[in-house]
Amino acid sequence: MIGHHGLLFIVVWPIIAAFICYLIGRRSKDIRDYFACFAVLLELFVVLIIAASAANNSNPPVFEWFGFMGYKIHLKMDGFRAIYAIITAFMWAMTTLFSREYFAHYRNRNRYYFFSMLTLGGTMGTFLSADLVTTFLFFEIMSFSSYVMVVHDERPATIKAANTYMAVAVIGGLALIFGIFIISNLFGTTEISALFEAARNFEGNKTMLYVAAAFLLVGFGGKAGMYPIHIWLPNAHPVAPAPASALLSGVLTKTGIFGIIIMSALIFYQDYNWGMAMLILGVAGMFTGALLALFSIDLKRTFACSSVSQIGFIMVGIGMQCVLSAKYAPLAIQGTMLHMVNHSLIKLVLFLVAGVVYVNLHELDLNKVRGFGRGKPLLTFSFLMGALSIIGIPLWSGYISKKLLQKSIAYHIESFADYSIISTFFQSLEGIFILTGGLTTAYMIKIFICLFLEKNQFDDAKMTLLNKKYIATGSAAVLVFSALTLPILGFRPSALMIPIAKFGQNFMLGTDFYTNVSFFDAPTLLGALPSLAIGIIVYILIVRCCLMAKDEKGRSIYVNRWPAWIDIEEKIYRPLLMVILPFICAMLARTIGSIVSGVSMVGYKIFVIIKKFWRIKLQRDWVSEKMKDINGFFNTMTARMIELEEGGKRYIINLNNQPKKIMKDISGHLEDYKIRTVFSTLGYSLKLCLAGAAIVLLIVVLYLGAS
Amino acid sequence: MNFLILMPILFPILAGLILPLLKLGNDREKRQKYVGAVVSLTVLSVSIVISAGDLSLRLFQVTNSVYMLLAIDDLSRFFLVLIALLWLLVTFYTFEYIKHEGKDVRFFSFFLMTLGVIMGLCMAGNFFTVYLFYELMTLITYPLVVHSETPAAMKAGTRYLAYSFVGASLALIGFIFVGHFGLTINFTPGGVLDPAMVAGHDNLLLVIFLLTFIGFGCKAGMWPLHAWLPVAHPVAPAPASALLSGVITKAGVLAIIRATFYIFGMDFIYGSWVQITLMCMTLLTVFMGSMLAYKEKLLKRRLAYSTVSQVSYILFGFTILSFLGFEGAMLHIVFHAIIKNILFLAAGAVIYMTHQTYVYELKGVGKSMPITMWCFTIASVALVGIPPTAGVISKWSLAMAGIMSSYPLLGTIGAGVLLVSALLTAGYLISIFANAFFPGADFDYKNLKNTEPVKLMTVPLIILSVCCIFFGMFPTPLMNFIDRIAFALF
Repeated sequence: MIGHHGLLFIVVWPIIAAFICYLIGRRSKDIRDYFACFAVLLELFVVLIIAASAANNSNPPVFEWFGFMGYKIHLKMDGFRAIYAIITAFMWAMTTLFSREYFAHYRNRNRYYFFSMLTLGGTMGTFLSADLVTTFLFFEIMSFSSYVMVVHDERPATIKAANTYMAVAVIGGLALIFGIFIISNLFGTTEISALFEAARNFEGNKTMLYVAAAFLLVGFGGKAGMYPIHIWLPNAHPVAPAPASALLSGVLTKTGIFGIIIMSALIFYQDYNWGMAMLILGVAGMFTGALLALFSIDLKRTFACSSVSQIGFIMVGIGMQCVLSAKYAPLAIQGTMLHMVNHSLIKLVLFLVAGVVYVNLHELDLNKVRGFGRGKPLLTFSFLMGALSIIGIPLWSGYISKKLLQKSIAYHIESFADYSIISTFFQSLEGIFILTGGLTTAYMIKIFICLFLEKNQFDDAKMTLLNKKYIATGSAAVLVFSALTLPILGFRPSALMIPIAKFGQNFMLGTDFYTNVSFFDAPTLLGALPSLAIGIIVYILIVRCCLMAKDEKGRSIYVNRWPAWIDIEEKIYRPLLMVILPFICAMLARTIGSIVSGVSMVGYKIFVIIKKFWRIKLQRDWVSEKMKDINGFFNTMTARMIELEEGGKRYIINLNNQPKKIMKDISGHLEDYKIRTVFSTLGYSLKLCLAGAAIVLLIVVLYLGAS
Repeated sequence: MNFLILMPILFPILAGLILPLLKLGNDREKRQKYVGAVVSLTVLSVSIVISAGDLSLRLFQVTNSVYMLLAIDDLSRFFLVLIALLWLLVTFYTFEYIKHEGKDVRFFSFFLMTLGVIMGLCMAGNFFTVYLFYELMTLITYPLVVHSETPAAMKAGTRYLAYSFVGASLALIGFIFVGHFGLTINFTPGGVLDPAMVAGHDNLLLVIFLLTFIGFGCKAGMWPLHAWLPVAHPVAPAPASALLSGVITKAGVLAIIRATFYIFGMDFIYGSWVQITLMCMTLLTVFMGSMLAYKEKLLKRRLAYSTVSQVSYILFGFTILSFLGFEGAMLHIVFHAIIKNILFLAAGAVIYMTHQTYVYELKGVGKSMPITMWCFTIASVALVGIPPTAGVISKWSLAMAGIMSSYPLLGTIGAGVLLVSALLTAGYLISIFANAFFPGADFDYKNLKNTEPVKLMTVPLIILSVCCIFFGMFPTPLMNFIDRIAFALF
């Protein structure tokens, strides 16, 4: 163990705290809650101290523990890692403080806290890792412990969504480790800081490198919510507890992005093909997510789809880093960096708002929660901060990062001298970028109007009844504090956001801009208008006209118009992975597995027939006898032996030998018995194989005698 | 000093033979003390034997070149310690479990004798001795398999015997040829084949090696002679299945290591068509086993199929014939033995307390038997290969060895198969504990009873689970010891 032990503390403390929390929780629930808050605040405090020292020091603190897991743990806290360590700790602190109220009426709270803390340790470790093996170690800890956070309330829908989450985690984890194997074999190192050099000097098979990267991309992209493996996000978020959703969306997806950045910035530095792949995946996710969010009529599902969309924005930024020349790349790098930070903080606020709604109403359906926010200024304020920021209104933080990303695309378009397919691609990319911004505006307006302006069509009195006592003071403070970060960051970008971007950009090999970007001059400000205008038009034309309808009592309600057949999970992934592949593979496996018994059985049957044939050869009616034999042969070939268990006794019955009536009796009551099909054949293989062995021995003796 | 080597063999065998004569009657407690003392003393004698230097003892002569030889080297130490310690833990568990099965005297008598025979197998110094103990092991474990004497058990027992004898007869062929073509039959790192004799008969001997491998592979559950495992495990009492799966299969692996690295020698096999054949066969088994486990609904049979698949991970590691592959395989021997013991013992505990044998009946078991199911969970996670538990380290080495092997394509496909199998492992194990711990919001918490078994059953489980995590985090001492064995071979 060498290096800065504080880094080890950051990673291990939550894991230790998880156990302490659990033990305390068995005695007293209140003390447990206080302890959990203390633990996350201590974590935040230590992270801040170490990050401060990292910021003032040109050598970032590192920690290495050789021999752990037969390899080593390697942690490091440079700019990017420090920022994400702080955000992780901050978000965990906020959600844990919020959890006290949110979980007040939940069962199994002890379990939740335990796994939440474990996930914190895993997430910290992932962000601080300086070696892909370490990344993998913590990534897996995080994936599996966060499963428990998702599945928390154990309703059938939750369990289904959590299973999807688990499947993505397991498949992603294995793809990840496979990618790391290949990388380690090709480069001879898994050290993240050495990957850049290794990739530059790499002279081997580039295809193999892309294969490895594809596996890594499945692993990291699955967690990031990258299209088309974003499927867990829209399902898991609505069912998970709100604090968990905030963490999943705000922090856990970023661990995936962290991995994708490692690949894009270090392994595929300025690799055009890779950049284009990222761009296409990014655009697809960005647009699909926004469209899904527009159609969704579930509060948290909207936010979840919005996450898919925002991750798409980040992926576009990552793609632009690879595509742009080194001169302009810093724009995309800072844009990516800042959009990650913004998305984390925005989703924290939005999911906490959704949490407040859920705590009071236990509903998330837009029609049922409609009008909840009326007369609740605090909630309105918090939501507005998040919404304005995510839409990208000037003076809020989201504006800055979106602007940077958009400018990076715009600069790239300028660099094309003449018309070509590529330049059209980038022009349409910018178009989709603005259009998606418009959709973002539209779905946030939809939520805002629904939640804070309209009256509830079902039970409006209930909504206003809650006005004074819908939130506890502690939770309110957490909510407002989280919401305030957004305008504070966005108000003067040069004071906070640009330094953050500069602090983090080294990780993506970014340098400072060739020129200063101004955010608040007239043309840039006007640039925000198209998205807004599109948003308002979309809201009026699509949401008001197409996505709302009158029910039988004439009340105007939101309806889900998303065609049910467009569902990659239900239509492609689940049938493929749950039915088709297992069926084919199982058939293969059974065939392989029963070759020996099958062969020996057929051999024995032939032996029996030959024996009988010799015995009856001289009889006159041997033909009919033989027919009988063959009949019997097929009869026993298809023999179904079943084992019945009844009252502790077991019987083995050959169904073919039973008279029809008994068969009927049995088959009528099959479900009453525990029945297993018994494959009976192999007693004879012994004789056969001994005979075979004898023959082999004979041949061997002859062989030896001859030579 | 050399006679000490007999202690771990003769002591449990004699104690097992005497047990029925002791007239302990129905006094369960006395019997438990007796068995516990015997096993503990055996472990003690093992510790004496392994620390007493390279002992060897020549027992009796059959012919000039064929004689019984017991010898201790690092590989024997490795297996002796592993098996003896696992046996000790399972013994304590069995005290409680056997109440459920009855016929304690017969069970413990054969249980002890099996221990002695396996100790003998570990210390065997030449091919003849291995063959002898191997056959003995088959015979002596038969009563453990058919313990319940139901028709299904008898049938399974017959199949077990049939397969084992077929396997052993194949190994016998190998033995005969080695006697003819080898300089000696004593185990020597690097092989004993006489190059002068072998010249010109390469292919014949490669076929013989293949047959020997398949023969010993029978006990290790390798395709094509794997079919006894899924039949024998569900009918045997849980401790017996745990040992069959965790330990007896490893005895087959040990015999294979001896044949591959100490008799035929890896230089002889390296790069030949047999190596490719064996790699393919093991990979086929890996895939087949995990796929069938995924489709199986009976818990213990699912675990048995899982053993088929996992032991072939180990064999795959050996067939790569590289340092890394050997290391990974040896690590997986330890980890799989620990993990499979946990899984079977936990499954046994569930069956013992709730009489549920099918996986879909285990809903909510995690609420009533938290400790047992936690151990089951840790072992499952380890078997899938999720850090920081033990399984990931061995699988890591195995997959890396595959990718870096002399057949890059086959090796990479191999690593892919291992990962697909890991995915299936996740599929067939995670569903069990997810169901057990997350029974759904409508689960009846009111009628929940704590059915945690007594400490005799849970403590061995906990110890094994702790090992499972501990070795995952700090495998270095173990790896160093394995490297010591490997350096002699590579």
